[in-house]
Amino acid sequence: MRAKNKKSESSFMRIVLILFFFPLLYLIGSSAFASEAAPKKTLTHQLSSEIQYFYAEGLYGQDQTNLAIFFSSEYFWQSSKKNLSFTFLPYFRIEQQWTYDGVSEYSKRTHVDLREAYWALERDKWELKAGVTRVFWGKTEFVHLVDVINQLDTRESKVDEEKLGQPMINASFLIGEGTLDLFMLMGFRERTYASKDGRLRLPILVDTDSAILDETSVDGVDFAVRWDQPVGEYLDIAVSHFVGLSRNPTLILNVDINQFSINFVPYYELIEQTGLEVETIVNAWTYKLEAISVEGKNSGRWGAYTAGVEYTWGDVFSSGNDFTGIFEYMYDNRDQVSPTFLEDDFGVAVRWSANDLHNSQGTLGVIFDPATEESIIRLDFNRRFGDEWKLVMEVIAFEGKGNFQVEKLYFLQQDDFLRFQIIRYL
Amino acid sequence: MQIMRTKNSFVSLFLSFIASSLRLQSLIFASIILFFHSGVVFSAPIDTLEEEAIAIGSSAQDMNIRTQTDINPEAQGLTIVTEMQKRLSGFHDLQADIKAQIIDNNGRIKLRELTMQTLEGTDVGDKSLNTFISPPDQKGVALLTHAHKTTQNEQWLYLPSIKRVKKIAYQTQSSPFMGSEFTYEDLAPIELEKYRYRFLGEEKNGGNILRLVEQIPVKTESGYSKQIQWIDDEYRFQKVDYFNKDGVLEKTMTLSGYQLVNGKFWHAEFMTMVNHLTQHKTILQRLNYKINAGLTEFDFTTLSLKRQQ
Repeated sequence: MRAKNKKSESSFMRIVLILFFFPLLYLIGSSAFASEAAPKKTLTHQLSSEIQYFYAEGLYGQDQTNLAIFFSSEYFWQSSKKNLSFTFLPYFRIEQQWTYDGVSEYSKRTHVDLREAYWALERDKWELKAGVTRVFWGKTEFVHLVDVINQLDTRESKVDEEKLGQPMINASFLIGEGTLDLFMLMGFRERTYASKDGRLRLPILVDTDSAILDETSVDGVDFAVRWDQPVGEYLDIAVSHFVGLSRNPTLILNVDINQFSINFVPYYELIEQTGLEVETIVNAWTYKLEAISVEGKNSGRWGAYTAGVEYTWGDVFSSGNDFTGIFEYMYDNRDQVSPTFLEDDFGVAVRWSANDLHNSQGTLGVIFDPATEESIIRLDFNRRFGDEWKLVMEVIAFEGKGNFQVEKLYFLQQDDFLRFQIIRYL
Repeated sequence: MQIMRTKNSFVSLFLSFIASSLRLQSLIFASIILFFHSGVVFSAPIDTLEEEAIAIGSSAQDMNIRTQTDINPEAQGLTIVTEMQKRLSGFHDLQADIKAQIIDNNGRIKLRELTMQTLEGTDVGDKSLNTFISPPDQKGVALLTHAHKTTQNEQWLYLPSIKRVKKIAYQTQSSPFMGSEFTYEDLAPIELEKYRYRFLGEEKNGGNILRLVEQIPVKTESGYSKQIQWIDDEYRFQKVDYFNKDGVLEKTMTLSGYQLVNGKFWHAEFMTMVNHLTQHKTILQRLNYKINAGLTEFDFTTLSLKRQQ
């Protein structure tokens, strides 16, 4: 165990630069430019503004509204032979409130991230990526147990499941119909937390500056492997293994008697996680399972799984609308001491797609904890206006009986909110 | 220092909850391509033909049909469509850029662009990969389809914004494709075993003799009660009438702007679908059409799906 490596943020950029070096050598040495066809280049932008309105003042007096603007650009270059490409996607966000990060005196309202910045060398049966990128693993909808590569972007993920870019070298091999992925992950990204003025915060603030990170066998490097294999036409199975720092920290209560302060300190534990994903589609029914077994350096061995079904009902009553019903169960054997809300819960959702010119869609979902009778309700609607505009509306509500003793979401019950977002594509 | 396990991380969990897959279903679009090589030629200007097609299409019974009673019409119908399928095979692979004009009854036009690639299946069914170019919120969204001859097709959707590949249930065939007048079913490959055919007769259209074949679904879940297909002497569709479940003529598709590609395959540049009930219209145009463009099975894997831009 060591105190937070202060170099981590600056080393992030250094790793990015090093990773760029290899493909550049290839590029110079190869005949990628030799073909008569021109390389493909595209540049697109997204500008978005949103307002978040909370139904009540926060438990700690936080404001009821928050405005935010974000801007992102994506540059894509592909060699004329289509075997080498470069993707660059920076991201910038600014908030009205000083809402991040934890107790830091540098509490921030701006957020800059490199979502993508990588070279990809592509062949028929294999592929090599170097740089910063995001990776998605998993099959289920409510929770992504096996998905361990990237840190979540807690500022953005209200909208979507946004992740921070992770520097890596990733080799992929096509084996039959399946894919084998090897990952070397360099540069650990920590999670951000709401500051004292931020909404959706804990009663005790998180001191991210004092974060504790376990030592890894190779300093600052994590490893992962995943094999995704279809079995016949109906069954898909994936197994994965990860050795490195957990992206999901344990919060440790830290009482400083001299300073009269009480804070949480995030602890990023060294873990070995084995994951299993199973999915089978039979006509309109999809059956899904995700399970993990984790050996933590301090927390010992524990496991979790989520399983569910999805039913797709296309062109309902010849209206052109599609509906999908989702039911999933989530279990974590750490039980009530689990650092997650989803230790023994149900998730139910209905997704709607109008298949119209505006790509209108919506979701109504509920996660319910039968032990404490708490639930999280989420309603979401979005549609396009014209070709370049998009409107997103979202309502999230935390429902409970107000029992301070047992409820895990007690501190969020005043944080129900409504969010409007307008996105302009450029 | 005391370890206290807290509930913090649920925050990130609920945040990601369902949103991930929210956009999946409506983005599903079918393998347009597969239909396209069943294209046919019109020699007349498009506009004239469209109007003519609608006029005659509104009732097959009104037409000047010379019925041939001496041959079993079921067998004759099947012979015609079988020959048609035969002439459409052997292309190995093809690719094209698609421009869709979706026009409402007030004449407002929406443009949609995508690319399509198809690999002809020999033992297995065809494979196709379609990628959106516009509108910009759907740019890079891609759909991979592995058609199967006897069992249900497999489909994977790639969402570039969250880098997720999701296998999807092939269950939305009769839903509209991107708000157009085409449904996924209209754009999917036709498998003869799933329909019953009947030859209805012949019809003169200018200098051409068109054969009328009725197609009734038997083994498949269809949004239509029947289709009537106008097939010319080159075994190409000239026009198709779609009758809804109540037996009412709902839509008419006409094909036009023909070219002979690689000296063998007829390529209809335009496919126009008119909805008689709403007066909406969609025109699909195929540009940069290439047959035998050098695609291989490695262009149709879940690995290559993620490479789409």
